Amino acid sequence: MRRWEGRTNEPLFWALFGGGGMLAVVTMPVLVVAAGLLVPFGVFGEPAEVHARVAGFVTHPLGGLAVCVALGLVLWHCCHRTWHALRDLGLHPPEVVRAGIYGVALLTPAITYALCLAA
Amino acid sequence: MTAGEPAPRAAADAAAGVPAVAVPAVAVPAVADMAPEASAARSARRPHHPPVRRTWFLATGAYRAYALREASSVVVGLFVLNLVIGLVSAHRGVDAFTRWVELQRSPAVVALTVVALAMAVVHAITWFRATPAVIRVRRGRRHLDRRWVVLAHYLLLAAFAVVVLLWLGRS
Repeated sequence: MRRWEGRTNEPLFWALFGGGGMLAVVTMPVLVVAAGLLVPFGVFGEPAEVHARVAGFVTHPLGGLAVCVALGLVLWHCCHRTWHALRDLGLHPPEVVRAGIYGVALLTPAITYALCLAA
Repeated sequence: MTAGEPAPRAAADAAAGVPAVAVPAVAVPAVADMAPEASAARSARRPHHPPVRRTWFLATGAYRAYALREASSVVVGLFVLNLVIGLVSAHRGVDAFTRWVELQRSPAVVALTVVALAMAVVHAITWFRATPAVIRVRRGRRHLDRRWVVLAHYLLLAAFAVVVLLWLGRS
């Protein structure tokens, strides 16, 4: 068995980063336009009508879980890039900052789904 | 796709045992009994590290493009947090969702949306341009041309856009 010292888990982080990037690049442009511009400015009607249309998928436990996992993966991509951007700027933050940044990516979907189930 | 790292050479050097500061006085063995094991205690390597400015990413066009790409993810991450709040509001009911939609109209959120859209487009264009390096489809001795791989990804983006807009727009 190979020794563990000197090895990192960076490849696993990078794999999730890649997956999140792929998902982000396919989903985020449309979601930004739809949720940020089209829905708020009434292109699809009143918010109540929009809610009636999307609630079926979004409020279903599995639908909400899918959305949480997808957004979590995109957040992982953003957090991984943020961490490496901090290192590129010449800062070398301690491991606790790294845990905090990746913790945001891990905890946000978890807390979101818990709030969704509780609501 | 990982970020470049100009500074881990210090860590690598520390791992290799090269001292970063002035070497403490060590009794230099006499030339006659200079065995290979004795000379390994203090390495004669002194790699050259050119000084790196803090604003290195503004120095050339390629560096600036890279910095923009990395910054795009921070903005998109903020918008994802906005969407997450929207998801919880949708679960809470029509009133909470209406309040969230009205919040999207506020100037701060509109500014975030516009910047996030620009950043999402930057991310998409740069990501799609990189995919042919990873997705290489062999056709005999050669590979499928890069433009088809990039086009396939744009079609994927367009398909998802059509699905979302139809889902939102159907009455």
